Amino acid sequence: MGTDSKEKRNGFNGEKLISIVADLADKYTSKESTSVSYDTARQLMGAVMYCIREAVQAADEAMDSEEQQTGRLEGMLNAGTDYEIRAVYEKGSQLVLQKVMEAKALYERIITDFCSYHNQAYEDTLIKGMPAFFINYDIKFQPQNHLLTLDYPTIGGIGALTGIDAVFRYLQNIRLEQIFLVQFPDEYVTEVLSHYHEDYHELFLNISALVMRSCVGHLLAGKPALSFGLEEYEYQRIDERLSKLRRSGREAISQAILNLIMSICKENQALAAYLAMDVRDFTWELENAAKNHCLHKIFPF
Amino acid sequence: MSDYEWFSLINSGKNQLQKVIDTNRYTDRFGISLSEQDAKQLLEARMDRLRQEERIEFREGILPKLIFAFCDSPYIDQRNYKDTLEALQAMFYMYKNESLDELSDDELIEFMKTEFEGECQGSLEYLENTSLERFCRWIRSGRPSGDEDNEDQNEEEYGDGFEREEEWF
Repeated sequence: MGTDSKEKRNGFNGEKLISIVADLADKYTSKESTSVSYDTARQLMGAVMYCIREAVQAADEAMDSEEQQTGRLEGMLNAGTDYEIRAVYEKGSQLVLQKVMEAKALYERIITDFCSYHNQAYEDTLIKGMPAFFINYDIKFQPQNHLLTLDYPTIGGIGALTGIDAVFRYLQNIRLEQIFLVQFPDEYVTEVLSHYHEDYHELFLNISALVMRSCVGHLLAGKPALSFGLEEYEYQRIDERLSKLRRSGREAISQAILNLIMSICKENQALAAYLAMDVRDFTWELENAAKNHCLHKIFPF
Repeated sequence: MSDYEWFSLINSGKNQLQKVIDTNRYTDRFGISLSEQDAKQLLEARMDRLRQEERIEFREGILPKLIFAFCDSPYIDQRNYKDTLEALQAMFYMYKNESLDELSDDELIEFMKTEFEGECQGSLEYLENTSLERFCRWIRSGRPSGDEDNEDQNEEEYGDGFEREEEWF
């Protein structure tokens, strides 16, 4: 034992992290235990890596790919002294704490006029789940664990994010949704949802995507976005428009939907970008529905 | 490098051997000591046991503490010193897991010493398979207090040992 290759773990020299993990283990056990289980050691190692990654990501906010960031992280861990790596870890810990404060502030802004439209998952996640997260989130020993299952699905999800990063992104998405939905009367939103499914209260569905799709449908039919219902001839009109677009390929449909989303979002770039994450799925479903003459399934209202 | 290899690297520990041998300065007064070979064997046994129990020691191991706790035991002499330490070390790691890490090192060692010299009368087998097993079951069930309604049952199942545990904790 002792060659470089044997001391490397996951592409970098893990031995440099041992002293940080050891210190963390001391705090975890309040120095009352000389040993911890493998699971605990993995958890603490994960905590250290999470904070170090936070610091590395924050240091370079340019549009680096994940590969580039991982490469830089490994480079830092291999080349840095113990002191430098510890400093990065401490910095990352501070950033995690800062992000928790920001997330809490964002949540408080959301919750003041939050509306769940009687959807149970939406309500449970934001009204019950989030406060529990802020009480129980373990910044020091398990920052990588975001505890919540985040049952209410946001458009595009949270990807591979974990810990406070996952929750912060989730809250940002919820904030955008609420900004979007507040433009519509509550009755309109609940009509869209109940036409989609009478038991929408119990389903895991994204409310903003359904409302956005409803608006797009009305616009395709040549009506204002905030319209109530579609007549048969209006479905016909949508079908004709889609047929024309299909001749230019699927991309043309996607682009048309994107343009309509931009008009709905009224220059709110962040909101448009968020809703646009649904375009790919929406395009496929729309195309399929047009082919099979069941547009009323996509635009039930 | 797998987690297993990385954890083994940590458990290999530095300066452990000298620390164990240094305990002889204290244990000599009780007529017991460890040779360098004994110490090496104990440390090898430690590595094996840590791997088996899937535990990791970042700093000094538990062996010196076990030595200081048990070296004055009337049931330990030079003939059985090394083997007893090896058995106690193995029990210690196993029951740290069995107690779900709810016991501090000192609490567990104190219990082991008290039982070893009390009810177990120097029997390592009794300590491992009866006293410690019963104690950790009690820990895992949330350290329930004695129930008057079930007093007869408790007495039948645990005997005096159950009540004695209550007094300590």
